[in-house]
Amino acid sequence: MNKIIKIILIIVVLLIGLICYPKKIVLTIGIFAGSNWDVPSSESYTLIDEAIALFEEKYPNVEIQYESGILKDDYSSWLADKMLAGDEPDVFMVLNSDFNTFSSLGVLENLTSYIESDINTSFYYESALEAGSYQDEQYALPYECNPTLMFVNKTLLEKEGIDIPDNDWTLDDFYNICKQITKDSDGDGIIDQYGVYSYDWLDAIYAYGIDLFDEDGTTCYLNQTSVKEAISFVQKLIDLNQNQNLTSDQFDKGQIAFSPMTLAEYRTYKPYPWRIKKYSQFEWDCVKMPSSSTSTGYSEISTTLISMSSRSTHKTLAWEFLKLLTYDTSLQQNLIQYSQGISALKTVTQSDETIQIISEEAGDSLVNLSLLDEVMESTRSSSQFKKYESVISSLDTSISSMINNGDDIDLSLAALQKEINQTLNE
Amino acid sequence: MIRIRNYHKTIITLHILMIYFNLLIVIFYGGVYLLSTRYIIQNEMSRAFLDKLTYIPHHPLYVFFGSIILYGILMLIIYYRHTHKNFREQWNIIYSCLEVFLCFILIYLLYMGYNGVILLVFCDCILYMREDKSTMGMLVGLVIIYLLSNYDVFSPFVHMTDPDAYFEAFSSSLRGLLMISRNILETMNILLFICFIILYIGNQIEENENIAKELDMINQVNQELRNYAAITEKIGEDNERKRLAREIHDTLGHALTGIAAGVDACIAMIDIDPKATKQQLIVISKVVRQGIGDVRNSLNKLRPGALEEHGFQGAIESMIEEFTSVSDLKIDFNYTLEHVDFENTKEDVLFRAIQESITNSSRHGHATHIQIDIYQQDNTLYLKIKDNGCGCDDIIQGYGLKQMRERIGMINGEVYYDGSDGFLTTIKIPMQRGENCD
Repeated sequence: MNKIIKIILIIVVLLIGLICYPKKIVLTIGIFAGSNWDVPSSESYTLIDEAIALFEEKYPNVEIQYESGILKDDYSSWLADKMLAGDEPDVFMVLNSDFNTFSSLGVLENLTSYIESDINTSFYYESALEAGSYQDEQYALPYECNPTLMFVNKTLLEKEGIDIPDNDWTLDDFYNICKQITKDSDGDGIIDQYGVYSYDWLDAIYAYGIDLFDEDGTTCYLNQTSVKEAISFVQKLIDLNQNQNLTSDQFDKGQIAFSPMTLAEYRTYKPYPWRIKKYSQFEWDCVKMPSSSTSTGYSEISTTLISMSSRSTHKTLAWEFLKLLTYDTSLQQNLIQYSQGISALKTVTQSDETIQIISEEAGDSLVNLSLLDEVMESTRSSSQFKKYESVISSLDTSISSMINNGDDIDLSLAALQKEINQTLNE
Repeated sequence: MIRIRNYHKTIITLHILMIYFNLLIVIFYGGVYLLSTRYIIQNEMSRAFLDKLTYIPHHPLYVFFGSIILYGILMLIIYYRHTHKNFREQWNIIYSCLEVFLCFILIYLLYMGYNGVILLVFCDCILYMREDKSTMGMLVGLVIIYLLSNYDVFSPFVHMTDPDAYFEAFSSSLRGLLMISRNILETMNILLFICFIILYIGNQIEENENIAKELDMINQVNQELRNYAAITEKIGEDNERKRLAREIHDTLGHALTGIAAGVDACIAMIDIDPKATKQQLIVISKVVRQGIGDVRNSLNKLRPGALEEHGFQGAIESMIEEFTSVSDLKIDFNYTLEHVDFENTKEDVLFRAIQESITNSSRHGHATHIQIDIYQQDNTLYLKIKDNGCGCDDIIQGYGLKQMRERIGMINGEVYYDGSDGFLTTIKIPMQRGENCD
């Protein structure tokens, strides 16, 4: 009897010792190397390291670890492996293409209650915040945003005597300029000057401010007049080129006046070292994407999201770190410097420092504070439901072939809507 | 009887077989989940696999070991119930509930891919079932759980990983093999269950038949006993008759013969020698008196007939009355038994004991007062007879006392004699079942 009591006592003492023993809490994070927007980036870990240093200073018993060197292309698969094996990081970046799937799987922690008690959501641009919401619940916070702008070849426009469009230009203005520019400049009978490159039907859909799907992702609204208008607009633009397929080479040579371009690309290729390499033969700049009228229409925004695992054992700490990454103004301010996107926080995007950094990069650019803020306010994230990625890619294939083959839009759209609705309700 | 045991043995064997079989299936499922996760990761299919799922799976190692540990606990409980059969009813219910709970968690952990464990728990519940409402409710509940605990039924309400997705992740040949093994395992389990139930029902029917047979046998024995009792009664009656005849012959007949002879002698003598005749008549008178005494004694011996007439208490009372009416003895009789129904033998014995004691008190103790108490205390019947006679320091047990002790001993009673203050006879007889008929 005495022996048993002794053994129990020893076990109890050991357990207490084990519990009270000061040990480091290890928080793991999942990030990928390089930029989210496929532009060259050398300082991708700088900001994360800075955040980790800040966090470890504030919480000395916490150690944050990450696996470095995961490329963006491998990241999705790497994260999926971890999730399947049940040891995903506590805090991790989520690609836009993964967000819907991961949210529906329940692997992302629902942040709504944390946000309500800890964060003022009005500090964020609405569209950026929306990118992290799935079925009215917030599962991720925006770390970095990348709005789509319109690239303008200034040299080409000046040559044709056309003013650079304002930021509130419409699709009609856009079409007129394209029409004016498309011509045979050297007189060999073949068109060698073009209006726009890689402006696709989705850009037009955004320009018309159309919602293609309902909120739950169970119905799509393809068969409506505005969609038809948007698609015929793209068809009209393509028709200008008289059946010539444009290449990026022609764009790089300065033969094309417009092309949609993300802010990250703009910030990468506008400043010194890359400017020489990429577009050295002409002057260029960016303006807002044209919309169907001055009051409606959006442009697309891509967002790097950060989520935490719903199975994390240190949720409070994970949330604190997530908050530090996405909500800390000084850290977000540094993001402008190290990365090519822009902060989702209004105060950071509007700050003097940001203006200074961007104007230093851009030189005599049109892109200034008012444009960025305006662009961010009028952007929209893609719809959030699980089948979005697959549906949008099949839509893209069908509509692109519809445009290229010059099919009857009315009939094709009605058939396509039926097909997509079936897929959505499977 | 032998066949029952065989059935029971087979049922237990089937139950044990089911336990091990289910362990195999649980390991199979856990193993498939674990291995297919490995397979998916190694073949870089995880992202596509996640698209097929509806909900994120648990940690595969937790699933594998968790389910085995849970099943182990379930096995321990089943084993414990098997070895400690005599539980109170509440504990039986608690254990059944615990088993159901564990089995449900286990099924949940295995993504509702396998719910055959419920059949095992069902068997376990039925094995220790007592036919009452709570067990029936439990069995009905189990059937409902069995029907509901299925991925297709449960997934719309609770987020859950699709178990089939794991099987489908493998290449088609391997998948086919796994599906076949899964089906074989599950079908085997169901077959075992069906065999168990058939045997169980067979066992129940057999048992019922046997009970009916035994009841028949008991009835037959009862009838025989009744016949035997009737015969015994008849023999007893005959014996009694013979005894009566002998008694009359021995006492009255003897005396009357003597008297007749004496009277005849007197008739012959009276004229010759009246003096001698007178002498002779005195002798005859003695014989007559002796005869009367003998007759009285004989009647006394037959007295228990009074018991038949008046009942136990009445018989004693009338006996006391007879005693007190012919002597100056004062007897207080205190009878405090209520609603008792003794066997005839016991009544006889007690009656005789009282009779003997009173006779002794009057004859040997010269007592003037006797106190008789009959009462019941702690399932024991007490009879105390105390007199105020001279008593005796050294009790020599004569024929009467010995007889009394023997008689009392025959009905498992005890007798104590105490001659220190008057004479006290204490008799203790344990009450038998059925004697208290209130």
